[in-house]
Amino acid sequence: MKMRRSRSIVLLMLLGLLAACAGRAPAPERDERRPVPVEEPAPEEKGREWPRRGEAGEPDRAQTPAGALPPLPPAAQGLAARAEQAVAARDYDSAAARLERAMRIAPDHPVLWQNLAVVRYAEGNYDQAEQLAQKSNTLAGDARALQRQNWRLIEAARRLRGDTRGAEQAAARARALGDD
Amino acid sequence: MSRKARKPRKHPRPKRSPARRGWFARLRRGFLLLLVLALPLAAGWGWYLDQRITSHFEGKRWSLPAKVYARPLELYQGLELSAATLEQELRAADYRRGRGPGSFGRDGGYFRVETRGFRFPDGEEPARTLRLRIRGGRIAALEQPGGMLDLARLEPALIGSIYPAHKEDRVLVRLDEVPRPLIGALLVTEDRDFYRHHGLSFSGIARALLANVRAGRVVQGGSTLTQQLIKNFYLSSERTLWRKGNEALMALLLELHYDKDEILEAYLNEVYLGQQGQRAIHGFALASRFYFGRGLEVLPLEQQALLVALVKGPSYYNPRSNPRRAKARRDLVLRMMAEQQLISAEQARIAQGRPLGVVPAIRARENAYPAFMDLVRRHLRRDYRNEDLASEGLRIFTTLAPSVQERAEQAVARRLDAWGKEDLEAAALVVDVDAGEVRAVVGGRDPRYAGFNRALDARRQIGSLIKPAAYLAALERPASYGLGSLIDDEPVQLTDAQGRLWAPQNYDKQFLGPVPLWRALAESRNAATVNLGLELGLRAVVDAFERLGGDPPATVYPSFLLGSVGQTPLEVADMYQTLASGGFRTPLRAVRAVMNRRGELLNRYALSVQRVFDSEAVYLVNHALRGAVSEGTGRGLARWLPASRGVAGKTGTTNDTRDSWFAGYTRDLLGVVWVGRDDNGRTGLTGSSGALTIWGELFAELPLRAPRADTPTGVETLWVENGSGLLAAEHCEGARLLPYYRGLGPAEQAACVGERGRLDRARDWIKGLFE
Repeated sequence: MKMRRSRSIVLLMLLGLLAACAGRAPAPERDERRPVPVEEPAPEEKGREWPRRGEAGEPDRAQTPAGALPPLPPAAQGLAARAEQAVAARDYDSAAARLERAMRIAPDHPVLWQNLAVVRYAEGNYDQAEQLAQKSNTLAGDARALQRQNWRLIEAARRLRGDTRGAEQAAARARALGDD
Repeated sequence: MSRKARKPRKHPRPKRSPARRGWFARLRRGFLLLLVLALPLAAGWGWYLDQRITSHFEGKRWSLPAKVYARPLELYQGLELSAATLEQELRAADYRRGRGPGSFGRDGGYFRVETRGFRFPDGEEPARTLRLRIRGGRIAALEQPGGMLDLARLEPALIGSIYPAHKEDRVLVRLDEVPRPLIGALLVTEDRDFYRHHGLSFSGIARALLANVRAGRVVQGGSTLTQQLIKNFYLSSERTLWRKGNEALMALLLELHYDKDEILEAYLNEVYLGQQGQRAIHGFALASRFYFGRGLEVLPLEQQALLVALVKGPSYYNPRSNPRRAKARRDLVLRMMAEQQLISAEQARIAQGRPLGVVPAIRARENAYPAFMDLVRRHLRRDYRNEDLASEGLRIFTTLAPSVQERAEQAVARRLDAWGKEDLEAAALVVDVDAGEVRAVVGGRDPRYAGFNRALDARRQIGSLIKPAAYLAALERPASYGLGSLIDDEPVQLTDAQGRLWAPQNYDKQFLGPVPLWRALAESRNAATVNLGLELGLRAVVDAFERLGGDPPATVYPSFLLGSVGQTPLEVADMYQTLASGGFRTPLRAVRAVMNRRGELLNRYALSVQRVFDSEAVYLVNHALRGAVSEGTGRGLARWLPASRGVAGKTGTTNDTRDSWFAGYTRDLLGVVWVGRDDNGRTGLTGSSGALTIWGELFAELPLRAPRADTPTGVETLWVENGSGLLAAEHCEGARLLPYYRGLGPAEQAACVGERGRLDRARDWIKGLFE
């Protein structure tokens, strides 16, 4: 009984986290100009101003302040949001499929790996939940809050697998990363 | 399926007649006897035919081959993608230049793509018109009418089908999905009484006879659609009375059991309408794709009429090889439709004025990538029976990237041609590092050959490809080993199990004495590696090898340290994937998902990861393997790729150059290449002169993500003195920046550190005087 309660508490906490992380990146600016006519591009169109959403490319880690996560690319962000909806509907399979698709777009974004860990946790696959959280941590750079959440997730997963000692070690790692 | 209550009655009721004398009575008796004997036989035969028909109709009517799809190309701003690659992917997915769904237009880096829409295992992708711009090897902008778009994906390329033995192919349609004019045309030309007769049409036969007499040749067949269906289903095309009789009987039986619409629907799906190599094109829906490259539901009148024209003789009226005949027959069909007032004379006239509209035949795909398909079949064998794959109409979504596959094939072919040795063979695999998805498999010199698949089945000694296992085992013990630690590149002599002496040589026949660990790996020093392995113990190295994903032999000798173990290229890819992904093992996957014919998801093969090494230790080994490419045995790659791509890799050469290997990876893709002979003879090629050049040729053309700039949190970078392995500083001669486990760098400082310290203090003092 106690086990079940602790599981759902952690789950609630983590689902909140899923939402928080997926929504962290700034919303893309929408292009408000007239709809673009869909025609064979004429050569002179090359000089036409194309809509911009910042420079296309990799988020530059060097420019993000320490501890902050790089934004998710908009393409992955939409998928993460849809994964979150699927989790809310307890459709874990779809959630995982959408996150994997997002991960093919942003393969080393630690938030996506963490989200997938949460999905696995929610469906009771504690081993993969831990493994994926570990992977998220190796990509997390110095995003301490994210790492702490991962260690909390690992702690819960280990506890539910009956690995009390491992869980305590994970809890210590989480505490070492600062206050919750 | 509704079944009518009526059953054919076939009970013989012989009557005993009083005996009479005379020939008439004898004849009559003989006749009755014959009847008594024959009627049960006929009844039995009728029953047998009935069984055949109903079992065919009640059960699964057709075996539908599984359709196998490549991974869809995802499009989003920032994606590494060249215009050439996009065009290659579009063509693989059957896009053509022009207008309409399934077409694209291109002007330099500007593309217009009209997608067809597709139902994926994870949801529907709408049909839409995309505009995108490619600049600097990336998608710079992606939009659709109305504004920007975050993400879109193309329909996946159909890369093959899994057929039953007889290679029938079809796409099923329901009756209500078939355009009415097409059905009208079919009935007008083939069976006008279809909705009135009971399987046989005497007026149809009479009309056909009359028409044939009038024309002086056969212009109409007298068979009803039901008879034609029976003929297609069961019978050979021989023209005997026996067969005609059977056909008629079965047609009557079929009509007894099923209603007209069911029979018509079956006919529309069964009718034979063309041939492509060994692949038989059945049914109107597939024929529509086959001849016009689009679905039945969008065909204009004249194309519907052409399909109906083909019923009479798909090869005689083949619009690709006999366009004139095809047009004449099509126009006849249109005229008959007008005569029967299915269309107006004006509509017929306009339609007759149109071209045939047939698209060039798409190359037969069932054998396009046999080596990859082989991997797909093996993957699916765990969950599906072979007969289900060939008959259930499954849709299999694989991980293949057509553009990567084609480039891998070309790179293999180009290099093998350049070497000019007939019996030289090669195998190659490309894997996505994080997802563990297999993007390309080349099984040999001829990529269309569906035989021996070297990528999966050639188990060959891996030579130096094994070395990272020993170095991982060392670096996992950070208190004892770092990349700057010195190991002995000195002669070593061992006695093997048979009492033979084993004295491994270095490739350059020299021994360098103490060398830093990173250099021993980057330059693939044999003696140093054996000394390191013996220091660690064979067991530790075997353990690391196993965790990487290798399959060690039951008994291990020291020669194991230099790769005297056979692995397939696929197994090597499995091992190097663990390194490339930072110490997490991911089972390699060739299939993402399987759907049934109704579009329901049956299986999804999800990503799973298993941490098998500290990411720090793997980071250090990868650093040394980047060194192998920038300044060690793999430096030949500079011909193809700039150092900025951050390639890490390892060459492997076995005794007397029998096997030439290269395994290399960037941030997102891993490639493994093997070159050798099937008879295990010499190739004259080392890892760097052989396999590496194929790898270079391939990867030079792939869009690659930029390498990650940051180091893991648990790693710090320190200046280390080359000759001593001691902690140094930037100004020290022969010092090199090396990554270490944080806090576990060399304990002692080199002498030069203090010297600089004194110089610095002197400089500060002088500076202080002037401020």
